[in-house]
Amino acid sequence: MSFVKAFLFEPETKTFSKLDPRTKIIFLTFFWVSTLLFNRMIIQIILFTSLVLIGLISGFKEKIKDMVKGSLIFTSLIVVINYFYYSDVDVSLGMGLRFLVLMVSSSIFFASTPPEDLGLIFNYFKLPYSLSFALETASRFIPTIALEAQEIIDAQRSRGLELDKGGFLKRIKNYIPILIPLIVNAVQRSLELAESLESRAFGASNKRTYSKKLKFSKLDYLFSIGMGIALAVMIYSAAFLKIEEIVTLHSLIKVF
Amino acid sequence: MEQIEVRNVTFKYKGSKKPSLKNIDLKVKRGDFVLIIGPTGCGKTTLLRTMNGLIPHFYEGDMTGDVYVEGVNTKDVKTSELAQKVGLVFQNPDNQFITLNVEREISFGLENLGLAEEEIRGIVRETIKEFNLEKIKDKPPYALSGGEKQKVIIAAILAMNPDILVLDEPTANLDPFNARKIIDLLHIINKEKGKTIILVEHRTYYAARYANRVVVMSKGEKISEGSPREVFLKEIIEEVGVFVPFPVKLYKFLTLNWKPISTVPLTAEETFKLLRGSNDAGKSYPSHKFTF
Ligand SMILES: Nc1ncnc2c1ncn2[C@@H]1O[C@H](COP(=O)(O)OP(=O)(O)O)[C@@H](O)[C@H]1O
Ligand SMILES: [Mg+2]
Repeated sequence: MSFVKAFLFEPETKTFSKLDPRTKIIFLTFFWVSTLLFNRMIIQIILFTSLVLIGLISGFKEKIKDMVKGSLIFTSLIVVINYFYYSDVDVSLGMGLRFLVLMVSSSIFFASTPPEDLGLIFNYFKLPYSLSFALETASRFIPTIALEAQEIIDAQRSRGLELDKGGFLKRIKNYIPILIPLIVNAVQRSLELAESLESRAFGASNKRTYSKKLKFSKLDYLFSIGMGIALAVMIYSAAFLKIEEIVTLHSLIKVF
Repeated sequence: MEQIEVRNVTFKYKGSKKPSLKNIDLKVKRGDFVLIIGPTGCGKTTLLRTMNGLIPHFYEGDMTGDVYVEGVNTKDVKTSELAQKVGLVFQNPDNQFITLNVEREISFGLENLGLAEEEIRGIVRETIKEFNLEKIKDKPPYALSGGEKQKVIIAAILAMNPDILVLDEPTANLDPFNARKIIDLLHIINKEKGKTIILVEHRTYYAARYANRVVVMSKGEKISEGSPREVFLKEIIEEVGVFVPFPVKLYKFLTLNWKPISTVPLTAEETFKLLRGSNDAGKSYPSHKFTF
C-alpha cells in the first residue's frame, strides 16, 4: 500500500505544490532524461541525492520514505538481475538507483500536483478531460477505500477471521471475506458517485471550462530555467564530453 | 403552472417483480417546502429519482406517466441538463464529494456547465462567503466532519443556481446536532433564497416545522398528503411506521384525556405557548444564520 500511497496528492499546501504544473513537468523531465542518459553509479548517486534534497526541502520526506520502502524489493531485483547479466557492481547499482530516481521523481510530481492541475495540463496538451478526471477520482477515493478495507478487516477479525494462517493458497482464501464486502461497497459507491456526477451537470456542456488558470510566477521562471540549464548540461556532457555513452535502446531495456 | 408535476407515474426497476412507484401524482409549487416520509423501501428515493431524470435515463425499468419540471418533460432532457433546474443531494456525503477540496468542489459543477472563468471565480467566492466556508475552503474531504461535508455539497449544488433543491435523507449519516443545523439551513435557503425544497427525512420533529406540505408514502403509493398539522394527526401515519413529532403525540394525548386544544403544535415552543393559553402559537420561528 505504501507504493500506491506514494503517488497520491498531498493536499497540505507546500511551496513546491504551488508551482505551475508545467514547471513540475520540467522537473520530472529533467530527472527522467538525466537518469536515462547515464549508466554509471556515480552520476546516479548525484541525481538521486539532488532529487532527495529537493524532496526534503519541499517537505516530501514521508513520500520519499514510502516510495523507497515500497520499491525496495523491486529495486533489489533490478540490481541482482543486472549483476548476473553484466557482472559489474557499478552498473548494476547504477540501474537500481536509476529505478529509484524514476520512481521518487514521479511520486514527488504526483504528490505535489493537485489533480485539477493535471486536468489543466491535459487541457493544455489537448488531451481528453476524462483521463485527468479518472486520475482525480482515483486520488480522491483510494484513501477512502484503503480506510474502508481496514474497517472490513477489523470487523471480520472481530468475528474470528484469521488472515495470517495456513499455507499460501489458504492465505489467499482468507482474504475472500474481505474482498467481497469491499467489492460490493465499491460498486455501491460508484453508483452513488455516478448519480452525484449527473446532478453536477457532468458532461452537460462539451465546452467544459476551468476556473483555474495556468500561471508562471517568478519562482516558476527561476526553477524551470535552472532545471532547463541543468538538463542542457546533462545532455551536452552525455553527447559531447563522452562522460558516458549515450543511452541506447539496449540500456533502456536494462532498466526493467 | 406547477413547478414540478408528477402525473400518474408507475415505475418498476428492471429485474424487479413489483413496481416501486404506483400511480403517483404530486404537484409542487414554487417556494414549497415538501417533506416526504415513509418507511424504508416505500419508494421515496425512487420518487426523487424521477424528478431530475435519473429515472428513466439512468435507471432502466418500465415507466408509465410523466414528470414535468417547469413545463419540461424529464423524458426529453438529459439529467445533466436538468441539473440546472433541480439539484439533488444524497444521503452519503462521502460519495458525493467528488474533488479534493472545498473550493474546487464548488467550482466543479460550474466548470461542467461551461461558465466563463471569471464568472465561476465570482460565484465560488460568493458561495464560500454566504455559507461561511472561509475556514475550511482549502480542506480535503477527509479533514471535514460529516455535517461540514454535507453543507459543502449543498453549497456546491446551490452554486449552480437550481430553482429546486431535492434532498434524500441528507442527515442520515449525521449526529442530531448537525442534522438540526442542516435542516435549519434548508429553511433559510427556502425562505431567503426562495428555493423550492423537497426533502426526504426521518427526523420529522426537526423538519415538520419548516414544511408547508407533507407527503406520506407506503409500499410505492402516496397514502396521505397535506399540511404537517393535518397529516401527522392521522392514525395511518403511525400504522405505517413513521415517527410522529412528539408535540403532536402530546397534543393527541391531551385532547383525548384532558381538554380540546386549538392548534396542533409542532415544536416544543408552540406546545408551551398552547399550554400556557396564549394563542399566538404556530406563527413565527426564529431565523437562524448560515453558521455551524
Ligand atoms: N436500483 C434499484 N434496482 C432495483 N430495485 C430497486 C433499486 N432501487 C430501489 N429498488 C427497490 O425499490 C423499492 C423502493 O426503494 P427506495 O425508493 O430506495 O425506497 P426508500 O428510499 O423509501 O427507502 C425497494 O423495494 C427497493 O428494493
Ligand atoms: Mg431511500
